[in-house]
Amino acid sequence: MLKGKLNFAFKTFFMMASILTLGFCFSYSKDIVISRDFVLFTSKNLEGYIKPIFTTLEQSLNTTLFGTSLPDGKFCFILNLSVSGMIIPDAQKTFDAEVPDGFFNDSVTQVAQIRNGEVRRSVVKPNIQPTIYGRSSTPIFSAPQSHTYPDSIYKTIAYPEGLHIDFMAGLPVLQAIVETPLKNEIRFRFFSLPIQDETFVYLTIGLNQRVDDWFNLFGFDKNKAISVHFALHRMYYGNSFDLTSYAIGINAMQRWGNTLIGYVGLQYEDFGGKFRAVKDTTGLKENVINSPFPELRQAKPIVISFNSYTKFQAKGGFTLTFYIGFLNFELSYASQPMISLGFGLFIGTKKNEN
Amino acid sequence: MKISRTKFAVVVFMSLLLTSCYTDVINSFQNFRFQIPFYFYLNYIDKSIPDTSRIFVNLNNYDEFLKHRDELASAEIVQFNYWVDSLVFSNNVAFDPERDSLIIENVRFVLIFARPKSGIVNPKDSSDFEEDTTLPRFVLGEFYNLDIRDFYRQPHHIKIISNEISQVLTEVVRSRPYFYLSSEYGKVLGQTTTKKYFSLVNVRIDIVIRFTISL
Repeated sequence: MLKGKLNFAFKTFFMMASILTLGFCFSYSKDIVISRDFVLFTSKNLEGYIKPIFTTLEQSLNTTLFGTSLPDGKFCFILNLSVSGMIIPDAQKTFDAEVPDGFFNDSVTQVAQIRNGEVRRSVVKPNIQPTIYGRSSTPIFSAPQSHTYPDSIYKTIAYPEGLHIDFMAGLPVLQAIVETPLKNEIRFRFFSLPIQDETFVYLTIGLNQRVDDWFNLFGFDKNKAISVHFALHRMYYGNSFDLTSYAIGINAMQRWGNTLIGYVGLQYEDFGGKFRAVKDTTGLKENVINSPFPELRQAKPIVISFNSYTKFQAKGGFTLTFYIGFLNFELSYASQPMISLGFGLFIGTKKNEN
Repeated sequence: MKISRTKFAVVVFMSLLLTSCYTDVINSFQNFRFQIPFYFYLNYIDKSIPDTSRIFVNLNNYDEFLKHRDELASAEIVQFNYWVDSLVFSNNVAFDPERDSLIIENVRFVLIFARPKSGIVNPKDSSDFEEDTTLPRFVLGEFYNLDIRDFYRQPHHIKIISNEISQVLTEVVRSRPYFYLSSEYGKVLGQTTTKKYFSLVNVRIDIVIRFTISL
């Protein structure tokens, strides 16, 4: 019996993996081309600036992977919408920004900046500058010691500022949940949007498999369950934007009466991807971009790796089940503490029809 | 199925809270703020002091300003910096910070807003502008007993600009992004002649301006 269930779980997993592999293999050849005048960010600084917003994205992708109903072996189809919000910790409001190499050499240029009300006459490491959620940035003044190239390029620099965000709304999640007689839930999310000549695609597939009865922990108890869950997310846009995230974890649920479900869960998650854009280099030799950063001066492509601060989430919540659907409320402890609220609609068979 | 009032209130409260969060976030993302340094090179030949001189600044000549001018919500001067890049005495000997001592009693930098002269619809160069006397002048930086050694290719004399100036700039800059930077030099310490001459003076002023643009 246990072997048969494991076989089915493996088949389900294999099917999910195949679908996603197809998605991974699907690639385009066109690059995003941006103006060479885009000199506000180097690749490294843009990566640091946006890292917290991708953390928000990762966390919101990896929410509502379980907890919406207790997998009890009844077939059910649910349409679920959830929204979330994250508290942004101070640590994610700043990052260590890139500084031109010449700024570290006193014989090339003398630098100064104001930090905490005091004038500092050297580069301060880490060079704390705001992320997209942060506040004001700190310019670094630079007086080149020679007026000729290459020293003369080491001029004063400034950085973009943050948006003063303390609480950030996550990406809303709209998904289809299928509960199968094998006491599992399969989740699907899909979104596609043509933008210019390319198509933006987002897809998620997830599995929440009840396992307590495999090991006969409570017998088959309709009011409590232990499950493992897994989800894989993929977003891409042509050859320029590519993002993958996954989560794997364990959760426990308890039902009280016919209405209320409480649950807790732990999950590990990761997030990665890249963004690449080339710059229009027409007239590069005639019209030199005057920047102390070689990447900007030479109009090199912007290449960013997506990263996230969050690796683990501890979740707890409750779900109120009604005749036609449910309401779900969840709190998550992660690098950005998160609150989420969702509702679901039973399509066809009603979940709490006994 | 009956929902208790408490449960209903919790759900309504959470819905409102999250809705307002989305609204706040959308509002936050409607503006983008960044700082841009503007570099001003004041190069004088046969400069004499005491003296007052001014340069004309038209932000329309700066690509970074032009790119964002139409979406500009505000512009604030954040910091101001002044240093001496080169100085040659009247005997054509270059100033050497290791050897020479030169102290100027006072130096002052003043921001003066400009406007096109009456009747000029499409002003082209500085001769088409005049001081805007309807707006106050603002002192950006003032230094007393300014020791040139301490300002010679040294950028650590940073002045933080007051909100008062920034607010005026915000109001003016979208429609009239023109101003003068006036430099007022006093006597050299111990100067006995009416004027002291220098063959060459190169001065740098860097001004960092914070722009907020509406997306």
